[in-house]
Amino acid sequence: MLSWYTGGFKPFRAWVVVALLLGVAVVLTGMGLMVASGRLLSEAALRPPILDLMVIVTAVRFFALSRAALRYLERLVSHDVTFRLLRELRVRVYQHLVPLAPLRLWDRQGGDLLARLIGDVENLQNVYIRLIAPAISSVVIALVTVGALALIDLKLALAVGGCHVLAGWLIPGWLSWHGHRLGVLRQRIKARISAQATETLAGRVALAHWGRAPLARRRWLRLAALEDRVTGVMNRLVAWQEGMIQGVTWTGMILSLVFAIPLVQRGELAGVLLAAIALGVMATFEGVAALASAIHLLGSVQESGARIQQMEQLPPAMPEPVSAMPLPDGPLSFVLDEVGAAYGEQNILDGICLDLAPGRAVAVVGPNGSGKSTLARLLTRVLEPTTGTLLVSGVDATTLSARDVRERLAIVSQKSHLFMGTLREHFQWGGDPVTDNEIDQLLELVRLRSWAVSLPDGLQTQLGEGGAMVSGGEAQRLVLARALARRDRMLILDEPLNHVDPETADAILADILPTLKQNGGLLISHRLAGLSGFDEILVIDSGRVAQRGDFPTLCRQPGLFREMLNVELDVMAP
Amino acid sequence: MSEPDTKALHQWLTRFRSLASGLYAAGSIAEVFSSGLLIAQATLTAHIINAAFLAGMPLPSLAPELALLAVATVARSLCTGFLRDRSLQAALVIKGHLRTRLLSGWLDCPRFSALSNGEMTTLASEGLDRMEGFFGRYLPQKFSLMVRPLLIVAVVLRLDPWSGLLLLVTGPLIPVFMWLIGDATRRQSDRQWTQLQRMGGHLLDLIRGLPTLIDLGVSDRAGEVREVSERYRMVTMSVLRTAFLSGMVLELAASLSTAVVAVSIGVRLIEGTMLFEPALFVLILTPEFYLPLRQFGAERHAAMDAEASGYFLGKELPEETPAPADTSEAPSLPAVPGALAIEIDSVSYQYPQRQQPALDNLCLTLAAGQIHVLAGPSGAGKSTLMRLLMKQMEPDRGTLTVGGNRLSDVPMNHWREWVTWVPQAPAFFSGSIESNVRMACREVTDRQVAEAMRFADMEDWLATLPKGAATPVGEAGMKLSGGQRQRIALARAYLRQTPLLFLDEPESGLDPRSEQMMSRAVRALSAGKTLVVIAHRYHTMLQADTLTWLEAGKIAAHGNPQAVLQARNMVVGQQGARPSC
Repeated sequence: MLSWYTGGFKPFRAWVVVALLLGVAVVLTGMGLMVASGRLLSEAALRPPILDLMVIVTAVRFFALSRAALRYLERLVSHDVTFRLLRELRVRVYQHLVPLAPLRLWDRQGGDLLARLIGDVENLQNVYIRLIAPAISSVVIALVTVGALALIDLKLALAVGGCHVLAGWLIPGWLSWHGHRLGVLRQRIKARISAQATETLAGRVALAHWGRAPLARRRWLRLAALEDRVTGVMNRLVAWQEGMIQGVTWTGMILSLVFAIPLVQRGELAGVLLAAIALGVMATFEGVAALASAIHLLGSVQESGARIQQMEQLPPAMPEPVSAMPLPDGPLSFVLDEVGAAYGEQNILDGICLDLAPGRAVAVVGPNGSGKSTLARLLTRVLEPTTGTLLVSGVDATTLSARDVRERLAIVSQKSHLFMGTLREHFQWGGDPVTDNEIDQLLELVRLRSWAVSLPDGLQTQLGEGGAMVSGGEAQRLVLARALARRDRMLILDEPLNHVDPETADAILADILPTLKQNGGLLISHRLAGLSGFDEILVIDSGRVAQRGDFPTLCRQPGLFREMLNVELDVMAP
Repeated sequence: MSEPDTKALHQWLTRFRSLASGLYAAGSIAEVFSSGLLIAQATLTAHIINAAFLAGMPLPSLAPELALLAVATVARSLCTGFLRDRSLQAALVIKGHLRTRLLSGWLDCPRFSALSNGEMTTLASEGLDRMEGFFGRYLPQKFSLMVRPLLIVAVVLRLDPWSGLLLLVTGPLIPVFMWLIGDATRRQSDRQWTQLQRMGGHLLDLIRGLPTLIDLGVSDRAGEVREVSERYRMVTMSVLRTAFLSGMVLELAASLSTAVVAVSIGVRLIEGTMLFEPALFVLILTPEFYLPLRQFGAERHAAMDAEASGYFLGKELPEETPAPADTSEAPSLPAVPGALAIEIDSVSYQYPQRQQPALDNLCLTLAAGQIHVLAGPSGAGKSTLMRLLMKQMEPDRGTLTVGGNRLSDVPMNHWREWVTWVPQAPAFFSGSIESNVRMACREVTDRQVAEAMRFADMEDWLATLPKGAATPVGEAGMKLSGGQRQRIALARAYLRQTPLLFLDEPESGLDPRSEQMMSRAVRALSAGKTLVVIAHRYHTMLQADTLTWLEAGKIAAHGNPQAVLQARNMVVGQQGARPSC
C-alpha cells in the first residue's frame, strides 16, 4: 500500500526531499536552541567576560528565529507536496474510472461507489503530512542525535536511542496493533448501526404509530453503546500512550544525566555541556514522537488505499474488442434478435426482438422495473447482451468499438447529468459546434426560451451547483436539448420528460417526433398519451415483450397496454 | 446563507459539560497535580545539574534526587494519562446522552423534520463523533490553559521577576496576534472561498457526470481534472501562506521568549545577581509555559467542527427528554371504539421559511363511518392536513376535534391506538415477511396474522417461496416489489382494526394492479370506520361519500364527489371521470 502511494512521489521527488529536510531542520533547531541556551547559562555561571559568550548568544538568537521561519517554510512546502500528490492521485483515479462507468460504479447494494471513492481520495491527503513525513524525519532525528551523542559516549547514546525507539516506534506500534483490531471492530459496528439507522429513520413514523419506537430506539442505543465501549478502550489506549510518551521523554533526559554525570566527574566531559545535553535530549523527542499523534489514522488510510487499489483492478464494464471492426458508413441501424440481458445472476430481459433504423420511431412502455432502461443500455453499448444477437449496421456488435457506436447516437439516460458552467457551455458539451441561434431554436423546442430570456445573464448564466436554480423539469429539458444538439444522430431517450408537466411534455414530444422518425429513435416513456404517432410500441412486462404494435392496434387489444391507458386517464394530473 | 451564531452555540454546547462533571472534576484535579509535578521535575533537574556541574557531586550522592525525579516523572505521566482518559471518557458520556435525547426525539415522538433521513443518519453518527473532539480535547485544553501557565508564571515571578514579567506580557499578546492574523486570513479566504468551492465542485462534477460524459462521447477529461486540481492547489496555497502565519507567531513567541529569557538570565548570571540553579529552573519551564497555548491552537479546529454540527443538533434536540408514555386511560374516549367524526375548525399551518401558508383557515367536518377523499394539485395542503391529523405537527391556529375530544388533549399513545396510517411509501424492516406484517400490532395471534395475509391476497405469492412467510425481505424491504409492498401494507391495516383509517393512495400511475388493490382495500376496510383518503384517481374519488378539493391550503370545493368533479369541469362517466375538453 505504501509503495503504491509513494509511487506518486516520483515526478516531484526533489520537493519531497526538501520538505523532509525542512521538517528535520525544525526539530534540530529546536534542539539547538535548548542546547545553546543550556550551554549559555552554564558558561555564564562561571562568570567569564561577557564578550566570550557573544558566539553562544548569537547562536541562541539564530536558533530561535530560524526555528519559526523553518517551521513556516516546512508547512508550506509539505502542503504543496500534498496537493501535488492529490492532483496526481485524482487524475489517476479518474483515468481508472472511465472504463468502469457506468455499470461498475454502483455496487451490489446499490451504494454509490463514486461518492465513496471521492471520500477515499480526500482521506489519502493526510498520508504524507501526518504519517510518511513524521515517520521518516523521526528516524533521521534519532540517528542524528544518537550519532552526536556517540561522539561523547556510546552508552549515553544507546540509552537515549533506546528511549527514541520506545517513544517513536514501539509505543505507537503497540497502539496501532491493538488500535487496528479495535478500529476494524468499531467500523463493523458502525456499519451495522448505519444500516439499522437508515431503515429505522425511514420508518420512524410507522414505528411510533405501532408503538414499536422504544424497541427500535433500544436496539439502536444498544449497538451504539457497544460502539462507545470499543471507542472507550481505544481512547484509553490513546490516553495512556500520551502519558507514556511524556514519561519516556523525561526518562531519556534522566538517563542522559545518569550517564553524563560520571563523565563530568572523570573529566571526560566538560561540565558546561551537562545542562546542554539534558535540555537538548528532551527537545529531540518532539520530532521523534510526532508519529504517535497520527498513528490512529493508519487504519482508515489503509482501507481507503485498499478500496482505490481494488477499484483499479476491476475489469472494464464493457470490454473493447482487441481490434475493433470499423463501423460501416451510412445510416446507423440496430437489429436485436432474441436478445437477453442480466446483471450478474439476475436476468432482466429475455427474448427481445427489435428493429431500429432511420425512418422508424419506436416507443417502449411497461411497469417500473420491467427492464426498459436495460434495453436502452444494450443499445447505448454500456451492457453486453447475455443471449441472442445484436447487430449494429449489420455487423455483430461485439466486434465493434462501443465508442464508435455512441459517437453516432444522441443519448438521454435517466441519470443524465447537468454540468456546472454557463448555459452556452451546456450546449457545447454535446460535442458539436452550436451557434447562439441554434441554441435559441433548441430552447424554443423544449419550451425553455422564455425561461432563458428571463435569466439575468442570458446564455452566460451559470448552471449546476452554485449556479442558477434549475428545477427538475427544467434540468430534464436542458438535457434533452443538449442531446438534440448532437444533430443527425439516432436518438435513444430514456424517460426524457417524466418530470415535466404532461401538457408541456406532450407538446415537446409532438415537436421532436419528426426528428425521431427521420434519424430513427427509441423513446422509453411512462406516459402513453402522445405515443399515437410512433411506428411501433413495445409493451414490456417482467423482461419480456408482452404486446407490440402501433397505438390503435394496442388500444383495441385487451391487455396490459389498455389497462395502463385506463389508469392513466383516470389519474388526476398532478 | 445565514451564519449561525457561533458564540451562542459554543456556550450552548459547553453547558452539556455538567453531564459529566465528576469525570471533568477528576481530570481537573489531575491537571493541577500534573502542573505541580512538572514544577517538581524542573526543580529537581535544575538541582541535580547544578550539583553535578558546579558542586562536582558524584552520581551516587545524587541518587536520592535522581530517584525522586524518576518518581515525579512516573507520577506525572500517570497523571497525564489519567487526565486524558477522564476527559475522553467524559466526552463519550456526553455523546451518549446527546444521542439518547436525539433518538427519543426522532423516534418516540416523530415530528416533521427539515432534515432528510440521510442527513439524520449523518448527524447521529459523524455529527456526534465530532462532539468527542469538543468535549474530550478542546474543553480540557481550555482548562489546562488556565492552570498551567498561571502556575508557572507564579513560580517564576517569585524566583526571577524579570523573566516572570516577560512571560506575563508575552502570554496574553499571543492570542491578540493570532486573532489579528486569523482575521486577516478569514477576510482573504472569504474572498477565495467561492473560487475554491467552485473548483472543488467542478472536480466532483466531472466525476459524478462521468456516465453522461461517456454518453456524450467526451470522457477524456483527465487533462481537465489535472488542470482544475492544479488551480485548486495554487489558490489553496495562497490562502495557506497567510493562514500559517498564526502558527508561526506562536512558534516565534515560544522560541524567541526562550532565547530572551536565556540571554537575559545569562547576563544576570555574569553580573552575579542570580544563581545558576534558579536560572536553569526558569529556562526549563519557559517552553512549558507556551506549550498549552500551542496545543490549544491545534484543538481550535475541533471546536469549529463541533460547532458546525452543533447548529443542527440544537435544532433537532427536543427541549426535554420526553416523559415515559402515559399509560392511564383517557376517560373521554369510548372503551369500545365506534366510528369517530373529525372536526377541523379554522386550522392554519405554515412551514418555517415558506412564504405561503400550507393550510389557510381550514374548516371541515368529516362525518363518522364514511369515506372522505382529499384531492387537489400537489402542494395544496393534503399531506400537511394528514401530518396534523397524525399529530406529527401542531397547527399554528385552530383546533382539530376527534369524536368530541380535542386532538391536542388526546395522549399520543391513545391516539396511536385509534388510528391506522397507510402511507404512499410504507416502511419495511429487515426481517421476515411475517414479522413485517405482525409489527403493525402489538398483541396478535398467529391466526389473526394468517387471516390478515389471506385478506391481502398474499397466499399465492407466499406459496411460490420455499420459506413462505419466513422469507427475509432484505434491508428496508429491498427485495420486495411494489405490489408485494402494497399487499403487506394492506395486511397491516387489516390487522390493526382501528376506528380511523388514513390512506395515501400510491401514485405509481402505470401499474394497473395497484389500482385494483386500492379500490378493494378502500371498500373492504371501510366498514364501520371513518376513512380519510388522499386520492389521485378519479375512480377512488367517486367511491367516496364526500370529496374535498383543496387548492393552495384552502377548500376549493366540498361535497358529493360527482357534483364536485362536475363543478370542476370533469366529465363523470361509468368508467370514472375524464377531464372535459
